Amino acid sequence: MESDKSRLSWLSKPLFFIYLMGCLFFVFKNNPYLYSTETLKSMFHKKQSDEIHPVPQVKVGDLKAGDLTSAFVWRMNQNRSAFYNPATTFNYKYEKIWSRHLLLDGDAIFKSSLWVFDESGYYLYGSGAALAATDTSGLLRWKLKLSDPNSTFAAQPLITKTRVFALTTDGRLFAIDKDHGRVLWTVRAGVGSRGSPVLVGQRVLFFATEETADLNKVNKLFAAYAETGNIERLGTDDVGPITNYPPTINEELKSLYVASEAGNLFAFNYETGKLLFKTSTSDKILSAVVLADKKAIFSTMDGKLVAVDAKTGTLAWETDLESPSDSTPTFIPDYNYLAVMTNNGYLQTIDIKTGERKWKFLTHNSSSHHNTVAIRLKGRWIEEHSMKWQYKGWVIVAPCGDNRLCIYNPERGQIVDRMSLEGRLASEIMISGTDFVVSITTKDKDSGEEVMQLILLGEKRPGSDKTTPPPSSGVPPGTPGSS
Amino acid sequence: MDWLKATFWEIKQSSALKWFGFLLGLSHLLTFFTWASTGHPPLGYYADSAPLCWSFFEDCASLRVLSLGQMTLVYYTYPVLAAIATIMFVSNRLYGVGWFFLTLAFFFKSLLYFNDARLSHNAHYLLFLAHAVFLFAPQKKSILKYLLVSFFVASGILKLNTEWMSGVWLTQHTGFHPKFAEWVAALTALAELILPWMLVSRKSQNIVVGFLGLLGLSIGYWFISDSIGPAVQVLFVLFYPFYYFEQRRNEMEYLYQSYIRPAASQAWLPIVILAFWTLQALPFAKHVNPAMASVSQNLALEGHPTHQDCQQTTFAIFANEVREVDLGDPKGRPERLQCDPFMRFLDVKNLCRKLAEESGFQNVASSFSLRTLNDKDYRRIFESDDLCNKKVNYRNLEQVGWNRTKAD
Repeated sequence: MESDKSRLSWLSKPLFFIYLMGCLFFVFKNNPYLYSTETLKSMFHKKQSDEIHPVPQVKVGDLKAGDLTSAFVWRMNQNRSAFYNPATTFNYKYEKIWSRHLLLDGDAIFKSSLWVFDESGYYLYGSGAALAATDTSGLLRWKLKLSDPNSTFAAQPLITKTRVFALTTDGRLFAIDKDHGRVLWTVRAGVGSRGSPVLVGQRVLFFATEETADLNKVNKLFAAYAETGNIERLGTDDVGPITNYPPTINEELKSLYVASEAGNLFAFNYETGKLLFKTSTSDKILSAVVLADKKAIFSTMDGKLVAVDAKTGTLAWETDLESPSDSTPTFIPDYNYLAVMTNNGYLQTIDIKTGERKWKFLTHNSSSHHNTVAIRLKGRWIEEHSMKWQYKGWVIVAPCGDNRLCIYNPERGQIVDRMSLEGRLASEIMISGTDFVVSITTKDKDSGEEVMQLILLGEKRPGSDKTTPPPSSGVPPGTPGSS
Repeated sequence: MDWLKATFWEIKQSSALKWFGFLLGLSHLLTFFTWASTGHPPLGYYADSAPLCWSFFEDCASLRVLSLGQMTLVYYTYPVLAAIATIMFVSNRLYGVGWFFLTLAFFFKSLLYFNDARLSHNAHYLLFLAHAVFLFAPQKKSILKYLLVSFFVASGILKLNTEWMSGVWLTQHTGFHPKFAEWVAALTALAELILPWMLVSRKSQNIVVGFLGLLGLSIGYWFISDSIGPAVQVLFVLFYPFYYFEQRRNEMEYLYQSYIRPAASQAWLPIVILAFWTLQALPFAKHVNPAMASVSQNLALEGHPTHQDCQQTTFAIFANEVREVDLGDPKGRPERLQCDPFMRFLDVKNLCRKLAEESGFQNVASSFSLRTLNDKDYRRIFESDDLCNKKVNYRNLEQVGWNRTKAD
């Protein structure tokens, strides 16, 4: 039988009332916005921080002096003018020292990679969601593979003495231990990114795409501290989709230049992120931005070569190249010319002061690469080719013909010499010491399929045998620094 | 075996208890149906060489004495036992057989359920308590009357937090306007706190209101969440009409207390109810003694799934490769465990076991961060690049870091 509660029934109503009031109190305490038009969820979201945190959390103090020294700089020099170190002089006779696959013992996904390099080896990218590092003879040192197959290391990584910084197309920046490939930190700055990262001081600058509250995508300038990965939203201006090249830096003006696909050149103060100027052009910008003679120079899709004042952005001159050029102009010191090859194979020189075209020469370049390089020849070759001493032996190296690199005298455009390649040029012309490194596509002798090979072109040197495959370890013979 | 005879006597005397036995049998069939429609998770988890153990016993793999074949037999025998128990409770005479088969079904379910923490659910927790009372406790009718009310009130109390009151869970599952969802959330909490008390009222209209209100609420949430919880609530609510009619009949017929089998002491009622509420209070003990956390979290009802954002970054480290691994949301994992730190830690340990056989494998590095609706920023829960080390367990994670092994 149940207990009789009649003695307590007079208590039950007030107790129930107190209980009911207590329930209502706690309901309203936990949602004070119940009777308001604001929702509790929106209040939470307002309080939530949009700070971006790297993974893992890194303690300050591990980085040593010199760790962030750049080991590879695109376009050959620190002021991004695309001419090689004027203290180094070159021969004009080159032959193949060795050729090999990009990656001797690794994944097929790296078969057709893009690459950059330094004295430690080669860094392969652009092949999907993976990055690889080889030693100088092409053997794998490490690779980093991402889980999302749609996320690509599309842009050139930044290589320093001890670290590699790489951006993915889904907005993540990685800092990688250069020797072992361990992830030092990674941070997701946005939902996408374009262009390569660039190092200024202790910070890595890059552009990433953020999604706004109304689902618009904006591309902004970010800075990540190289040691910890802590992110700063540096710029507030939307630059739109930008080219995939590294931004160009001018340390004197503390400015960073980036070209957008919509035809705008942006210049930012890289310390504060303030927009210095925005210059609009007639069409999409195809090349990277080069700095020379206090000007920022680039080429557009409607075949123009444009120079603007590097400080103010005002137009200095504009020259019609008659055909578009996706190559980045090369500055030739002493001549004060710019060399640029249009997509239809015309190598042209332009006076940097006035924008006047000096000459153009049809190179019959059959490759899809049009970037040129400016180097100085040794004294005896200046004499041999009757070049004027005042110009100190500067020449232009450019792809030409079918499977060749040619050396041109910038004064009149005549060919000084040619280097034969065993296949179609598949990369920019890179310089290692006084040698040239390029990749070519060629047919494999055994299988007959098209493969990509890395070639070192250097001065003929004793002991080098073109037919000898590179050793299984150590530096290939004939490479500077090898025994 | 006197207590068994007393148990049978009590069930024999009460049609409400027979009906509740029938409902408990149905709950087993419901449990099996839910498992079967989500890919037979007990068997899937048992086939996994690395179980996700309950937090109070991390080495549960050592207790796996049955083979997969034997466990499969247990799994498919379980609904048969439940079906027999259900049918037996329909009969007025075979309730003893029904009790026996219900006990067997309860035991088989325990074998399946306690093998892996991924199967944990508030509904099963409540069913275990209800079974324990129905099968073994004296004064079943009285205890069940208040225990089931306690279940609802405890569930209501767990909803008194900003996460539930924000209505985010409802918005995600129904597409309600946020403000409407807030009101539905508030009214749900109030309903669970107030309506159950009406079930124990003396006034019939209160009982009707309480019954219809809770039934409607449970059926409504059954459609929204598509989980076993609301279905079990419906079964519990269905006990009360039978209890009510039986009480009316007893009062009208003035059934005498039997001297052959006297009723058990009324003290059992407060003892059981107090025990239940003590269990619900256990999670607060971790503020006094943190070591209690791993024990208490499995002995009390879990809070309603809160809205959590979590991020996990994991890399498998090989001799000359670093491979990012997306551990993702394993199929079939309950929603409330998607961002559970312990589950995520066990996911990493499982990854270590799977990759151990790959050539060149060295370790796994992982970082896990969590943010609830209330949090301003993500909180780093664990972060280490030495997670495959056997000495690393969930309790000493704070002592290991990332990139420290390189320097050691």
